[in-house]
Amino acid sequence: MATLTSTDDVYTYIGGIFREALADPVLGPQLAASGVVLRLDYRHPDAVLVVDFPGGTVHLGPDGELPKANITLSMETELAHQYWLGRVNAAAALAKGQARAKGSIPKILKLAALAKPLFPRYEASLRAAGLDRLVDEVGVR
Amino acid sequence: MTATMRAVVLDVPGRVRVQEVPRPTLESATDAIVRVTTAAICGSDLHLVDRKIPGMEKGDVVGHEFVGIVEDIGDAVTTVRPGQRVVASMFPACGHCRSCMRHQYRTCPSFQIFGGGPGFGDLLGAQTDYVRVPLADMTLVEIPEAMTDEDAVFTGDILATAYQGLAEGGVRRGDSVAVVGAGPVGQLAVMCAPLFGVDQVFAIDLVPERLEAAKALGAVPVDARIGDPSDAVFDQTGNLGADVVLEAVGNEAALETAWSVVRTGGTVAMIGVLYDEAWPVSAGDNWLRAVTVKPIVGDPLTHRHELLRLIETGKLDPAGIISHTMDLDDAAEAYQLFKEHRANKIVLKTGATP
Ligand SMILES: [Zn+2]
Ligand SMILES: [Zn+2]
Repeated sequence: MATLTSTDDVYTYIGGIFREALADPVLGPQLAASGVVLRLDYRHPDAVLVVDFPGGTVHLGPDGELPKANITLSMETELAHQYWLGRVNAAAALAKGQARAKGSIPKILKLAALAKPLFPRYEASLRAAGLDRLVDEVGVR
Repeated sequence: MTATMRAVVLDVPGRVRVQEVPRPTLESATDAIVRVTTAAICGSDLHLVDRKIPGMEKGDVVGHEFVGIVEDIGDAVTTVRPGQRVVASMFPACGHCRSCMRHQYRTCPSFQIFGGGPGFGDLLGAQTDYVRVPLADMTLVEIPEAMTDEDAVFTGDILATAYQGLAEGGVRRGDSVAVVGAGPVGQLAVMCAPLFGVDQVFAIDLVPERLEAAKALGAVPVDARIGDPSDAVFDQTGNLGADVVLEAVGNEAALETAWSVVRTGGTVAMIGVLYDEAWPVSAGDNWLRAVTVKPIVGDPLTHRHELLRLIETGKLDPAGIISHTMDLDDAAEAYQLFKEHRANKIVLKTGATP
């Protein structure tokens, strides 16, 4: 299954969708109210993002000063990519051990639900960059 | 003039002393008097002495883990007789009420814990020369002749507690188990785990000596000073977490750790003594994780026969965790050693012999 191939891609497209979410007039305030500072640890390619929802900022790691997270999620980058394409059941992914969570499960699931309206925008951002392949190649898991 | 005896009593909060107290006598036809030979110090004794569990007053006698010789019995006692060497359950229970029939001894109207203070029936403790044992037919059981006091004493509380955690925690063959707290109870849980078909037990602690002891018993040691214990547990369980977690400390940090290492749909058995601690997660969070919670008071009455048998046949070696054998007179020093984690498990000897 095709996934993002470089750390820079992760920061551009997944980082980008978080920046869009924070800037969204409807979604931004809802995310800020969650109080969540979310750390994402991705593998293959490896990348670290810290999304400070109340602060409205996205930090790209792993180097440098990162805000202290109150929720941490770790997973394969591919799972994150599939999630943003709307193809992952977040609760099941946690129960199956595809993703590891530290922190409040209700908050994680709430964020996962809030993100739903952004799925088409994530897809659009990939297509706009000519990365249709990452959207259209759906492997069998 | 009333006869007196030595007893370990609360001195000031956090400290015990040995003092002379009146020697107990039979108060009821179902009582026995036991001449104590060996009494062990338990983590819950510290909770009482430190008054995390309130109620103990200056001069109250502590101790609930003991072995001794039956000295005298009331008229209604039929299953033990003077001269027999016995181990006591840490709590008496009647044996015939609705709760007892369901093995829910904690709600038996006769439930009291030896040396548990006013909150648990105000029954005098057993770190003494003599102890009055209510409901002796239920509370006491004879010890096989070849078994040492040091092995048998564990069946009255902490071995039964560890075993109960695994049994009530619903451990299945092949499960992974995490024990939060590698003190004496945690170590015994590690020792019991193979009996439940478990070959992967994580022992989580902050004290190097305790981690070493758990490792020697077959556990995977997880040093909580070094990293997040949940990383070690998830890394070694295919990212799922432990099927059953035994919280064997009894504080909020340990509860937090327990919930951080349990798998979705797993079980947390609370075998440590808790009093007024908050839940580490919200009710909704717990529901979403589908974690089963089992608050456990060890159950010697249900398990002591199988435990005595398992010791007899060499499947369990509880006395192996004893680090110090001391005289009852040195109880104050013993409590200090135990509190400072300079002793693993301490038994006190009264000097009495069968
Ligand atoms: Zn005990
Ligand atoms: Zn009863």
